[in-house]
Amino acid sequence: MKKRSPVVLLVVLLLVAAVPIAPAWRAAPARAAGNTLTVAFSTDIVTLDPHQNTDLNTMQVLVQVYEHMVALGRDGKFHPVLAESWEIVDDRTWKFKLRRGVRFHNGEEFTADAVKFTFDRLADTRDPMRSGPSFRQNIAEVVVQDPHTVLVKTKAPYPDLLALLHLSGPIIPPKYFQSIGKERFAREPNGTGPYRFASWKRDVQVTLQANAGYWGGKPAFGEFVYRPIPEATARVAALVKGEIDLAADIPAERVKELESGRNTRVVTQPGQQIYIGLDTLKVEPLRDRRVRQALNHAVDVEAIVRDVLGGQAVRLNSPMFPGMIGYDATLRPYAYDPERAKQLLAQAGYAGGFNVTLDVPVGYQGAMKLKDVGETVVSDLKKVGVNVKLNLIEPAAATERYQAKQFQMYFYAWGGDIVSGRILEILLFSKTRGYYYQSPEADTLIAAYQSAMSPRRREEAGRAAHRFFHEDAPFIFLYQERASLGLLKSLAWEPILSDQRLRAVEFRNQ
Amino acid sequence: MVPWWYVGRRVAHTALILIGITVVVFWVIRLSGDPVLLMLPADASQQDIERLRQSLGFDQPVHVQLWRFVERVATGDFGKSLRFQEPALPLVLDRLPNTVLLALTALSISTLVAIPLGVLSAVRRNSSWDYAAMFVALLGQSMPIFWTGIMLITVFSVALDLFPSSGSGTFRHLVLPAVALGFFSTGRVTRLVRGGMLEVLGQDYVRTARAKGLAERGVVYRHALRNCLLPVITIVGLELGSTLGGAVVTEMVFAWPGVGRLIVSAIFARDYPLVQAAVFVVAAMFVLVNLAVDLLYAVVDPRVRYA
Repeated sequence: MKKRSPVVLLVVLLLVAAVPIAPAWRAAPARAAGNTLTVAFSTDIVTLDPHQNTDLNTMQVLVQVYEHMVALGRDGKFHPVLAESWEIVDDRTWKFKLRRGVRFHNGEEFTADAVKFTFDRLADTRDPMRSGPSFRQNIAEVVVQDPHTVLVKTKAPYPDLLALLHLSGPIIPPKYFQSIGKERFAREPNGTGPYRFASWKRDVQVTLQANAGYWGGKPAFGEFVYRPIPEATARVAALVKGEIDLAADIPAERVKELESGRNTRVVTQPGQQIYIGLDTLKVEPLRDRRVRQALNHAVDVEAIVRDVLGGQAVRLNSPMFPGMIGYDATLRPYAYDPERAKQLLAQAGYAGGFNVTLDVPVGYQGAMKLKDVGETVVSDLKKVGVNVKLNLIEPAAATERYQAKQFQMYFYAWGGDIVSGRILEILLFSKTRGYYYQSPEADTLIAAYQSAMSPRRREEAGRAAHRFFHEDAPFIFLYQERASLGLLKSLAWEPILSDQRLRAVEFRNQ
Repeated sequence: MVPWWYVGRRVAHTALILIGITVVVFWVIRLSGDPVLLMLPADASQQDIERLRQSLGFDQPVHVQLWRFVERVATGDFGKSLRFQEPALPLVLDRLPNTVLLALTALSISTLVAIPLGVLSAVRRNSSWDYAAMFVALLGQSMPIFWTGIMLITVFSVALDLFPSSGSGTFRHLVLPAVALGFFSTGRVTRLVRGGMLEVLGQDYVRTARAKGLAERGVVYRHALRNCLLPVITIVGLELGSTLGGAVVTEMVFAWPGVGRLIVSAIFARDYPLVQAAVFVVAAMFVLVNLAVDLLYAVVDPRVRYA
């Protein structure tokens, strides 16, 4: 008898070892079909508890299942969602009338109790929710007036309440939550939204089913599938092949290809805001406003946007964004003008320039090409005599150095909330962080902006703040990224809300 | 039979290495700075920082912390993942079968391709077969897995539409990632087999076999190949280790739900308990595979035991 070769034995051993594993891993294949909306993002979702989440990609799923009180539209106005109407009773009290006839996916009725239960959970300090800081800081009490009317009392005048309720505070069902507990609640979500939860296979896909009883009408797609595909090339390939209907986070260099593709198109949305922060407290030259203005004149931001970012960004001229109340559209960005920069440096006594360090976090997920941008900034500043040493650091180390106030110049990415005044309050108000910038004048302006309850006064306070920060230049103002989404041409989308969170109900097949 | 003392010594070695891994994993999160600051968002208050420091035991002396960590690891407790707020070890173990499946399939492919290819190029030394095989081997070793993966997607998924571009769930999803991952070790194993065969084919007993008038097939496969397979077993065992490493990249490119992808996303999210658990599991797998190879080797070649 012929002896079996050890080669065959080895291969057989390897294959036999693989067999018992295979069944555990088998699952239904994901494929874009007519009645399914399949979207792909770069990371898997983190949790299904909407109050324990701060991750934008996770919100792409949660926002289909849970609803908020209000939503900000592209028209710049707040639209009713679970709240039908609202009014300001006094400086610290808001009254919300609730939508009637709304039910959670398990049949539980949506009433004022659900609103109180939700906001109490978010404002609770004993078991702090991850998405609760603004609730803990601002909400004093929630009072149920009748089953369809609720009063929200704030600790101080809080004009950003509607912005907060647009960004956060998805309403959860109290009876359901209490009967199953928070552990199960985080696995079996139950909201009022257009899609109900079906399954989550980690790192593979999340599946949602249309809620036939949705108060806003039955959604066009019967199924919603969220797939995490980390590599951009694979995401683009899946879209081109029609395996998915929509791919997020398209890198700038792939945009052209999808724009000219036979079956694909590209839509852009506002993304993160990128600044170079300056230590205006400890670095002597940067204490001088003229020097900070000079740096703003010396950096050719338009060239960076065009050449480094492939046009996928919009210039900024202050810490305020278009869309914030009081944004002054007449203010222009600093002109690229090296001569003017040199003059300003000379006036401040730095005609010969100075030395400074710029820290760049590398591999920071979410911000595009910071290293390339950093290198361009270094060469631009060199032309006016400012010698910048580029220091590449790991993102985790960057956070530590930021808090330890060890940065001289550093990149700052602000994302998510571009409607409220939080960026001013957190980055430039001396009583919150005040790590690298403190100014009594800024404090007064921010306090005024953050407490003005009447729209007219808030508008005025916003304009004053905008003009001041434009002039005082606490940062080198860079740009707001444009986040690119790739879509199949067969997918129609009429965006109503102003948001990075995509609503499946806004999509149709055509 | 392999003597018990040999087995005992290898197992003791392995246990020592596992303890070493535990200590390294313990230190790793201290290398990039204060772990407490790293775990919290940038706007955490001093109060939050102190609270977390206490709850994680980071206010204790280092040797106490290390001992506690070893105790916990011994019971399989790596703490809760910061990002998922769930015990870290089950998150890793859930994905382990996917990675093992991918690695074993890749290794089977590379063994199946590499051994005939190596034999062929040794037997027909300096022929165009040899050059072609060596070119493929060189290509496999010098192309980064990342690039191989992208090329496979571009050609076999987008252009020819034979396989899905990424994801998991069916056998067809497994093919491209396994080929991408297997290609790298194919190169190394082919060269090893070729080298071994060339050496063996020049030996006296091969000449004797030929002189007896045995068919060339029999000489090559029964006498020569069997004798050069010993180092191949070792290399294939070690390749399983580097394949686990390569799986990190492959899993990212093909969106394969394995441990490698979990490690990468945990590192980006600064989820240190999860990184610790995953690194420990992968390192432990590597060590255990080595143990298995050592023991297998001793079974196949009795000389090894007395070395």
